[in-house]
Amino acid sequence: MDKAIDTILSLVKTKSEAGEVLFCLENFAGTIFLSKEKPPIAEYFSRLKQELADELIHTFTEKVSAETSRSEAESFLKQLQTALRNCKILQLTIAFHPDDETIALFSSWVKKEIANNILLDIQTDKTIGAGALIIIDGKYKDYSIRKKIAGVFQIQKDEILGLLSHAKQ
Amino acid sequence: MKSFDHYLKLTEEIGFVEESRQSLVYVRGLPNATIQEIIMFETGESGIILSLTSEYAEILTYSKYPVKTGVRATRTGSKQEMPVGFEVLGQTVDSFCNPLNVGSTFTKPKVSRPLDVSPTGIADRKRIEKTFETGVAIVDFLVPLGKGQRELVIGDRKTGKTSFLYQTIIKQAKLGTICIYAAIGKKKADIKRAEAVFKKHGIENNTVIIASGAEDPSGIIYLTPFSAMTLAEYFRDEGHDVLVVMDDLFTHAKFYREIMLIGRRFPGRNAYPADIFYLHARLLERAGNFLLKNNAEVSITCLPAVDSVQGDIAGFIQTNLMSMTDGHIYFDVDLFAKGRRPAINPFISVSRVGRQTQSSLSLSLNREIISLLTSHNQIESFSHFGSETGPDTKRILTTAERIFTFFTQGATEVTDTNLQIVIFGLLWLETWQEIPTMEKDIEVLQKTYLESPQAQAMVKEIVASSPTLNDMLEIVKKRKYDLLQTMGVH
Repeated sequence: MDKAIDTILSLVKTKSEAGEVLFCLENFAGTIFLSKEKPPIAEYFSRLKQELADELIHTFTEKVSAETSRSEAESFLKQLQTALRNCKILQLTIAFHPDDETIALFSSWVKKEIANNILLDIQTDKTIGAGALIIIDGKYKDYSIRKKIAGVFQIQKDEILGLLSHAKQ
Repeated sequence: MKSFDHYLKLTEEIGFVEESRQSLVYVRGLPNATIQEIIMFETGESGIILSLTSEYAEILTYSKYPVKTGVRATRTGSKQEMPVGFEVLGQTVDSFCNPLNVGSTFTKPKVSRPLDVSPTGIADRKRIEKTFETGVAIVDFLVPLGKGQRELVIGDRKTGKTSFLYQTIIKQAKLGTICIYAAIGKKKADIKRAEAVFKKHGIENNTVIIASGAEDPSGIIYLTPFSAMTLAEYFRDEGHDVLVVMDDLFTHAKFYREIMLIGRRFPGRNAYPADIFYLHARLLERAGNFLLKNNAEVSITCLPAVDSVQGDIAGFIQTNLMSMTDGHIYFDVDLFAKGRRPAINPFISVSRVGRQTQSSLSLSLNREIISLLTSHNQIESFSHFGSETGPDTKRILTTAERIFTFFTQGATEVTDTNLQIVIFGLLWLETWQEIPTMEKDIEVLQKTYLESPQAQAMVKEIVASSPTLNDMLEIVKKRKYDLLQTMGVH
């Protein structure tokens, strides 16, 4: 894979972010090669987060320069779009709304430990208490406290009921 | 079935509905899913996997309404099964053994069996040697069937196919066979009619109706004949002879075609999918005559019905089914229009294995009747010109007319083969000159036979002591007066 694509992928953290990048790339591809009076590249990526936008602007300023042929630039754009579409989604259900810092932390761990082309799809479900539900490639793993508590209740049901009835007396 | 969460915890695999096309649903995920596995949706619906690609699992749902996109799905790790047991006798159930009648006190059996299994191998099968009585004289004489035979019942709509199937069920249930009537995509009124007929004849405790209505989801209709065969295999393994009636496989083929076209399978002849032959052949191959482990011989006789269109029996599904069964009984729309009941055309009907089960007396009877009716067919066209006919020709014409009268039966009337043989003897000996007298006397004979054990014994004795037709005619000639007296005809 092109090193530039790898760098861009490492900066895209979530599924929704990937959707936004794809949207920007669609706009960019639709006008950049057609219009004579094209807007500056920065305008196409203004809605993205700073770091990611800077990387895209930098990459495309190089790729769509006078020295590179139009077909080369088009091919790069298509490769980037395909790479984004082929990213695997890791659905992570947690009990709280994560801030950007937490998402970045999750994402950097996943990209470092599993693969660079994994995007997070973070969902919130307070009923799990704590821990996480993880879905990737159709595999489902429940690492929530809810499951653990349910397991404890199932195993020690009689003991717990006994304690409760004793407390009632 | 347990809850979605239970199966999710068990298999730890999940998928998401990406596309929904009527009863077909495409799910992404479920990495270890297998063909025919049951899939459970979080909304409570379920379905079976029809096909798998690297990206999607194609699922046939049992839901009336399409499953929404984004809904979660999980594997169950099990193939489609159906509860089976003697508890279902006398019930009308759906393809999953759920009672269809509101307020039914029926409890589902505990034992379950998979719906789609490979047919039993040749080592456990046995040559068909026992006669299968239908209670319809023209079939028992001219197109005889054997226990374990698969006989196609073919004919245009409203030509009496279902009545014939009811008659066969009535006769067999009275003889102790367990009868399973699979009503495939039928109207509710038709299902109720079947229930009423079985109840009227007191055979409901030996019959099961497995029904799917025309308004049911395609997935349920598709499974109906498989459920019937699964139940039949259970009773077979319990040592009972079983009759499975599939009414009808043309409707089944049409629903399967609908499912496959929605699934964008390449349409073959008449837009049917390429595996329609395989599907029906695999189903019908599960019937036959079997040898159980305890050396007991038991059979699953199968009577699939199929509609023909304007008397054309060369349709795709019709010829497919003809080639995978051991013969066919053809209901002729022209004979029906002429008033012949049942409107079975013995010249177009075929029984490939039934004849080997017949006694020498029945065989000689069969030969005589066929020979006479063939001559009648040849002569009949000339007789229309009004030309003068000789005494031999006249005899053939009048005897054939009597035979047709003798074969005439009401929609749910069933007859005893021994009695039919003796009546035929009387007819052959020209006992009756006038047709109305003959009709009246036959009615009396049948009534007396049912009521009088003495008459039954006499008829049985005559048939048992007659190895050939000539012997039988000789005995009937000698004992004619005595016989008619005993049977109440004066």
